[in-house]
Amino acid sequence: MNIVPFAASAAPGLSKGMETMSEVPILEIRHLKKYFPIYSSGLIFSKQTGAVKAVDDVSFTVTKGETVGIVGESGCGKSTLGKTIMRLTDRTEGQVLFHEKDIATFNREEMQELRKSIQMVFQDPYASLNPRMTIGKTLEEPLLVNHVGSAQERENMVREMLREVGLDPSHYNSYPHEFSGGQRQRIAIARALINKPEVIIADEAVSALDVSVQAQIINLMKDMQKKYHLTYLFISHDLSVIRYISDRIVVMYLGRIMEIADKEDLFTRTIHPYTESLLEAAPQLTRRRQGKLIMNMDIPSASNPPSGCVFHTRCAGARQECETLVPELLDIGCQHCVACHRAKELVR
Amino acid sequence: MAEAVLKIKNLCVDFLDDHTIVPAVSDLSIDIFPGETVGLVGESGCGKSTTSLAIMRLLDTNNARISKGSIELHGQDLTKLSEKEMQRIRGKEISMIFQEPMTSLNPVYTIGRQLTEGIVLHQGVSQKEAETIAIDMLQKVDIPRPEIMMKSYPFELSGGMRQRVMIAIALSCNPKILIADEPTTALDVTVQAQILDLMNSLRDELQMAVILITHDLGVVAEICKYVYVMYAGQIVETAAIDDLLNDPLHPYTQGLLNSMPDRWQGGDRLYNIPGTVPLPGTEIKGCKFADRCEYCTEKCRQAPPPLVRLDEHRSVRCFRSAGTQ
Ligand SMILES: Nc1ncnc2c1ncn2[C@@H]1O[C@H](COP(=O)(O)OP(=O)(O)OP(=O)(O)O)[C@@H](O)[C@H]1O
Ligand SMILES: Nc1ncnc2c1ncn2[C@@H]1O[C@H](COP(=O)(O)OP(=O)(O)OP(=O)(O)O)[C@@H](O)[C@H]1O
Ligand code: SF4
Ligand SMILES: [Mg+2]
Ligand SMILES: [Mg+2]
Repeated sequence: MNIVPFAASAAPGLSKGMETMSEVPILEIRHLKKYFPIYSSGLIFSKQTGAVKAVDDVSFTVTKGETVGIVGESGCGKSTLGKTIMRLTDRTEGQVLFHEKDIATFNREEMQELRKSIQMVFQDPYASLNPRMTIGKTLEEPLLVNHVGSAQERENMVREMLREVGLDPSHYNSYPHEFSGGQRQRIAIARALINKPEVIIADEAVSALDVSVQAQIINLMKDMQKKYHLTYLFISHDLSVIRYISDRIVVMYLGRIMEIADKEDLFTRTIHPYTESLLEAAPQLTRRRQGKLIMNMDIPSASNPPSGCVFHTRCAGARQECETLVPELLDIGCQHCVACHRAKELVR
Repeated sequence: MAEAVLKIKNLCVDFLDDHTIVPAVSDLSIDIFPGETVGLVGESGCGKSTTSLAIMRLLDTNNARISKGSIELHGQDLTKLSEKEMQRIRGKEISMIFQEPMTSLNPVYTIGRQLTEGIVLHQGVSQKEAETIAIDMLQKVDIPRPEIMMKSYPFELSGGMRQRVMIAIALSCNPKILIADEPTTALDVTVQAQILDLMNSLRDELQMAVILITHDLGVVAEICKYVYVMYAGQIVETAAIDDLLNDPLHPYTQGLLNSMPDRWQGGDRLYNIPGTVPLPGTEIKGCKFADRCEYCTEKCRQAPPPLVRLDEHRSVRCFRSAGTQ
């Protein structure tokens, strides 16, 4: 198999978008970095002594209408990546192109449009809903901010949206505490959808729910995707959920992408040793735990990531070059990209 | 066959809510044997934690009580013991670990102090000896450089480390029973796998009985021998793990398994159980699952189905599945 480096300007998956006109890239993330400075406080001035490399040189492309899953252990930068894509936090370096335009260059009007077009849904809907605001007002607010319709029209839109996410429109005047966890997540989804966005970034949106409620919410999200041609960035640490919902999956470790592949490809033709370990660790209905996990569990910190391949300190197959050379994310065919010096020998 | 270390018989727990009695756990019976892990599974609010707190006698006496049943530890009924007598049981005979280690570790004391406290109390050894035992225990749970860990504070540790420290504390007096209430729920799958491996090996080494409480059937499948499925405060099915996975009998168990993305059979939807769990205190004359059950008949609504024992390890609380419809 040939391993071809992709051009510095093009992100993996882009070529696929160019082949067929229908697959337009809606988001292009190019060499994106987000570092959080670490300061040590001096007497008068505090001095920057380092940085947490939360997102470090991440590139990938998202096609309109697809669901891209993002997985990785806690602290690997999934949420930071989501927030940087929405410009909730400013990038350190690199670019995020939305409809081929760099969001860092957006003026106020364009930013306001972006705020409508990309919405986020979080894990804990209770924390993200105002406890003193009725559901009606909570859903009306985004419309109000964007000066949509008259008061009556807005109320009608809210009631219609409640119905769409499977809630009774009579809940218009209820407060968040009157709802169960699953219902609150429906409200959060309704709020994200009310301004007819193009992209939804779901950050652990179903992680706190019981399995049968989780199934209901996942079904709802899929229905809404079909109906409104939504594009999803679906962040989760749950591999079985990611496998079910995603078209493509991005595996992150310490701020970097280790592997990107079409969903079935990732699970059936796993190449990166980190992905392998993650799949191995995930609980499965079909197997009994025997013996001990092989992976070294000494997890390095994002403020002092290992040299070379960031995974080398935990990788059973690490070689000398892994300690010094950062492996490039290379396409090994079929848009399956791997950042590992051993990728070639691991492909079979 | 070995003797059960713990026999819970017909346990009922009520909450007292503004003078109304709300049953949270009813008629729960579980036998636990040394060297075995049993799973207690069910959705949020079904009474798992209430059960574990009842076993530890840690229910808030102001608004909760064990209204019926017994909890026998080697023939001694824990429900009859005074608080003082219970203090000698907790930590020494039965230990518990919780979901959120940060809330159960005291933030202002070092790990060493929190570990040695129980050892001095239960084993009557000197502080010096307790420290040796503590360091030994930290080694058992695979903590590197245990001497340094003894001097650390909880906030200095990662989630996985904290949970391992909690396990070290829980096991420091060689309890016969470990109750683990969602011990890995807040952790990464990699850390979870490691904690499960650790619980497995310590269980074998110390011949402990482990009660694993979780909402995650995947975790149960990986380490439990027997499973108890709870719904609305009741056990609805008990089985050896393979039997439960291959041939779930209760419609609720079937629904839970079918809702899992792992069990997705194709098509563009995931299965889900319609409706929601009834709130505790809801008057239900028949089967508590009836409103959500696709097999529900008139009989199911008229009388509560009993938990019918089908063979040594298998019981089900459903008229249809027990063949008594
Ligand atoms: N505002 C911030 N200031 C400093 N460091 C931060 C900030 N936000 C995140 N970090 C750090 O950046 C890294 C990535 O964090 P992030 O929250 O993106 O991870 P995550 O993959 O979403 O993790 P989780 O699964 O726990 O949600 C972590 O090391 C985190 O401590
Ligand atoms: N102190 C209390 N007073 C009144 N009701 C309570 C009290 N504690 C718990 N409950 C109720 O009893 C029921 C069982 O709660 P419990 O915490 O045992 O559930 P659980 O199965 O552990 O759920 P989870 O998976 O969410 O931890 C719930 O409906 C809960 O609201
Ligand atoms: S007893 Fe009836 S309602 Fe209850 S689970 Fe069985 S079939 Fe369904
Ligand atoms: Mg996050
Ligand atoms: Mg609980």
